Amino acid sequence: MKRDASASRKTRWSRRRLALKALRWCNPIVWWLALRRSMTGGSVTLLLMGIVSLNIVWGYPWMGMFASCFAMFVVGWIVNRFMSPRLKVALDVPLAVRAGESFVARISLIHEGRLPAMSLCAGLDHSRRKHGRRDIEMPLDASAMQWVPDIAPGATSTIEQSLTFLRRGVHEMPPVRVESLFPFHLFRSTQWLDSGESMVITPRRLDWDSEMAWQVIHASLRGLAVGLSQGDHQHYVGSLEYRAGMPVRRWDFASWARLGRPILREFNSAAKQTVTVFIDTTPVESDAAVTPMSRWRRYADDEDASLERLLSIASAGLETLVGANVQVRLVVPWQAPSVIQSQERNGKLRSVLCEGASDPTPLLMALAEAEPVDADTAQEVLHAMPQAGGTFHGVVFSRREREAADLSHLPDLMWLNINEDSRDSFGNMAVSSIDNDATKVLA
Amino acid sequence: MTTLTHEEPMEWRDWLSDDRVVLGALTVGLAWFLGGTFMTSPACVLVATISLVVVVLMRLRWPEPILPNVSWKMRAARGVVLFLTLIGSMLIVFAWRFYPALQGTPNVLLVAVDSIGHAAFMLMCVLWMHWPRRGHVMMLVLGMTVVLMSVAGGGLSTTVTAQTALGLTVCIGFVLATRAMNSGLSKEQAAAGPQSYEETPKRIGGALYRFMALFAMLIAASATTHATIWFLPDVQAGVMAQLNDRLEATSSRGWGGTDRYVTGSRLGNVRESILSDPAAVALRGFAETKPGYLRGNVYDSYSNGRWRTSRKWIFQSPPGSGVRRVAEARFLRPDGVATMSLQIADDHLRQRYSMRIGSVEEEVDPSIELMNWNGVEATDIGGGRFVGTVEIHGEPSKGQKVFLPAATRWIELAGEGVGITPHGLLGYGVDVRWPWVAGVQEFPPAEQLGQEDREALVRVDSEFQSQLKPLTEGLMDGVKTNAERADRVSQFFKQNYEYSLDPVTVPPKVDPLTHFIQSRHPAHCELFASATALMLRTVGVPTRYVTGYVMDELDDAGEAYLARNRDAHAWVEYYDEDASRWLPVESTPGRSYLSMQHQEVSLPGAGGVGSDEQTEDITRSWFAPILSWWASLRATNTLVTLFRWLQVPLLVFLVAVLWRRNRTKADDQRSVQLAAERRRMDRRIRRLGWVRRPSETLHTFASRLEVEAVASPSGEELLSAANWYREHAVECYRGAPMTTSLTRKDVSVVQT
Repeated sequence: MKRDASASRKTRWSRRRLALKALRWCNPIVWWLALRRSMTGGSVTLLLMGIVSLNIVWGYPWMGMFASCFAMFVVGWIVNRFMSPRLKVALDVPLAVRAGESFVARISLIHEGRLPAMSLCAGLDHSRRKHGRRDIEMPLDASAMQWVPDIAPGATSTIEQSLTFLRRGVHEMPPVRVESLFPFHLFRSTQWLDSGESMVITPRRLDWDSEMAWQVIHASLRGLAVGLSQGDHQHYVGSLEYRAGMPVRRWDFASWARLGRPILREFNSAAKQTVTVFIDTTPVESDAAVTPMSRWRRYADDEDASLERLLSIASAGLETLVGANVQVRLVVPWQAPSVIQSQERNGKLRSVLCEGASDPTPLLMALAEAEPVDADTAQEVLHAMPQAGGTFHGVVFSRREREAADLSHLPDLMWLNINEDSRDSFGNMAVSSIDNDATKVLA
Repeated sequence: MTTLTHEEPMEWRDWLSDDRVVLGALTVGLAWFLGGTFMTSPACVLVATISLVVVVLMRLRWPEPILPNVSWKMRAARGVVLFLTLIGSMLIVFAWRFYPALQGTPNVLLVAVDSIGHAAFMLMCVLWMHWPRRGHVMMLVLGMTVVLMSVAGGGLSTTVTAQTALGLTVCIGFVLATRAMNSGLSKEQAAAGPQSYEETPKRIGGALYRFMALFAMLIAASATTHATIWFLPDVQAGVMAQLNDRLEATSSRGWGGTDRYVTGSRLGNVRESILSDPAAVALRGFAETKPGYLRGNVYDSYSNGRWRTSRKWIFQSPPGSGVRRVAEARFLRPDGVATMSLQIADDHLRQRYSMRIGSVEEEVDPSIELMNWNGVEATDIGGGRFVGTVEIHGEPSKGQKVFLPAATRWIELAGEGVGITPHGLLGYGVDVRWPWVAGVQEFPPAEQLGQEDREALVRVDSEFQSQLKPLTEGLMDGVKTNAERADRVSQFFKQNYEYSLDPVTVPPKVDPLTHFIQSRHPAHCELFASATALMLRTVGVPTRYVTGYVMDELDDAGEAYLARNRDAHAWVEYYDEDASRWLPVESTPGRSYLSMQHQEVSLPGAGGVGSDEQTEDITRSWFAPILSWWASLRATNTLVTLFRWLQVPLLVFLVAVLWRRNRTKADDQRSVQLAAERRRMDRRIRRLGWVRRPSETLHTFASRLEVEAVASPSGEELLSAANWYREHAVECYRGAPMTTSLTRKDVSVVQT
């Protein structure tokens, strides 16, 4: 009985849908709107001339003109509808792209109809997106819509289109707009094909030359990376002569020179060190005042320019660390995109791990959906950071002062404040507020 | 020049397929059509050639498309040049066509059509020179405007053949133009990004489909032209009935009205025609004697200062169509080739049509018919003697009307599908660019008036009935026939009233006719004729109101009779019961009805035998039909005939080719059939409440059905369906012949 009721409900629902569809089909307003959307310059001309030639009722000798306009308009519209293609679309796009950088999307159109699809114009249509239309920048030249003369039944045609996402985040790809202009460009039947693809847009690439704070941060991170890769004196055990098969990263050049034999330094810590990075997105009240660069406010007024700047600097820092062969664990208190494979969970702490000297893209992808956190959450993360595992080396990118957080349990933490301009020790150069330089921290 | 060195030299095939060549050919074609219509061929072709040369030179100078990111200064300069050239071309057209035309006798409508056509053509050429690569969309509008204006200016007749040919040509030209304009865009778009296609072994050429689409358009255009010409009279009659001839009245009052032929639907129209440029010649006639009164408009009913026609072009009114069907008008079928030679010989095809309507027995006597249509003078029991012929030259720009004497027996004219109204008026289907020749007899043709017609033609508004009936009855002492009644009324007006064209102020809300009868003020012909018609109706005499021209003035050379605007006139025709004919009555003071008088004439004999030997030789020789056909052959005829005979075989051929090319392989067909079977089965199972999920394989679904079949009331059916799905899955992979799906009958059996 339950099954019967369910079946009848389904039948009722399908009937209702059918009736709604029929109503839609019978709606003259829908017809008119569809006709208006599908008209081109040629069909508008035909309509105008057809209306003018209706003066035959008053005796004007325009029967032939009326007939030709009528025939071309009606037959053109019917043929256009009849020959509109049945397409499936497949998009080939990179997994992640930086905001503001253009990339090429390969669009494959697969024709499933029985008649050939002809006179097609295809391209991504960002104006069709439900939200975030302004996130995408597409070239406005003729390449925005590309011409496909015909696709045979069952065949595939591929076109390429470059586009740029302006905002960080996980974005759905815009639908592919396909216009069929057959026959003779009199009408256009348009369809939007959703590929279902989405893209991870990572923070905007840092403008290294204009970002003065970055110079010091970069130097600090390089120092940290070098220190980690070469080992520190507190973990120094002794030196030993090189033998075949030994890892050769820690040469003791001085001893080698003195003794004439290759000597390696030995430490009681692993050669492969992990740095735990936390990007403290907690906002500060005077953010607007301290954001010096107008380029961060270039694209959208509602964008948190200070946060974007922080993330850009952080992403550059992450690239520096990974590039210096340091394994990085990025703590993410927000929801990271699910496509990232190397996600870890340790208690409440979610993190993304990236091997040294590998592709830092997972870390950058984890920043795609970064959002401001409140001070309490940030404090919780800071407390939990040492529990991530291994020997703890922590780096925090923040907009706040170091004193704003309770770091009593993390004396060795490297706190990088991107907002502080210190011109004392480096002349006129902007300096980030690093309480201790890299060697000092590690010592 | 450096750009030229890098470019591949173009072959003649490239030039032919170049879009600019297509656009150039279309432009020259338009120039030829426009120039042929308004006698400006050299100038139009020159303009088209100049623009073509400019475009080709630009192509040679800048073979690559101009980049869109040119500086704003360059864009502004181009805009200024475009604006100036547009203005300049308009000024040239004004100085060339508009201003000189206004200096002479202005025919505003013709001047407007001429100027608009030439201006559109010039603007089109200017736009093309500015957008030489792929034209501008406005060129389509302007090109179509040129065609419209050329046709309106008399460049093409209203016959079915000519209009069909025009429709076909416009179709072909328009699609060629849109294709040429957009293919440039397509190439640019195609060049913008790399593309790849997976070639299939059977790829159907797009050209075939395009040709098919064009062909469908041509067939539709041809059919629509025929349908339009067939149904248009009905529609026109319906519209006219709905609007009560308001348009006609308005147009005769407006700016262009005085340049048209006289109408007379509103009291005052004829007077306006007389007073507007009185000396302008409306018609020119060649005859041995004065042609006299020429009819052009006939009206049936009067109210509120307007005359209306209830018997217009009503050819095919189906019952209940809303169009009043007082009497059927009809098409005239040609009786033969015209035999009368024109004053200015021309080789266009003219045919002779008999003007007989009605069904009086003696009129259809075949012997009389034979004698009369050949124009041989003879005694006709019905229509009297044959009195002569008149060749009338009209002015096409003034309208499509054909003015004829009331007693016309036959007419020779150029045209096809000529229609005649119950009033004996022609006009539809007549090519008025050429003169028409009327064979005139003594009396108008006989006509049997039906009861319904009679009632309509004696109807008078109650307002006039009460006013006119006592007056008219007072005049009818001792009269017995309708002719006497008409004469009494005519004499009444001639004796008691004066003729004048001076304007009369009519009190508000008073009909001008009422005011005329009450005040007896001096009036013009319209009021006399209208009052006569209504007065005769009050005493049961069917009447109708007629307007036209009185042609009785010989020109200075003494060769032709002239009907000027001042000769516009209105009179009345009453139905004579004894003669079964409509006879004229003239009640305007100072006027008397004038018709052609009998004079000995020498006319071509029977059987198309001409008066001179040459004609005789030609018509008797064996190649006469070929000569006749050759003389009548025109471009429009050729196109239409070709299309008429070729469309069906060509359509069959195209469909066959497409079907043959589009055939899918046997394997594909089998897959399609299997999919259809599967869908059918899915639908049947869905009715029972089971839906196969997209993620489910056929076997999984079959297993689910088997599990659910245990508890389901329609378990057996589900089990059989599960088996079917399993077998179907096997077939899909094995490639074995298909098993038939569960039929509807099987399902119903299982359900019961």
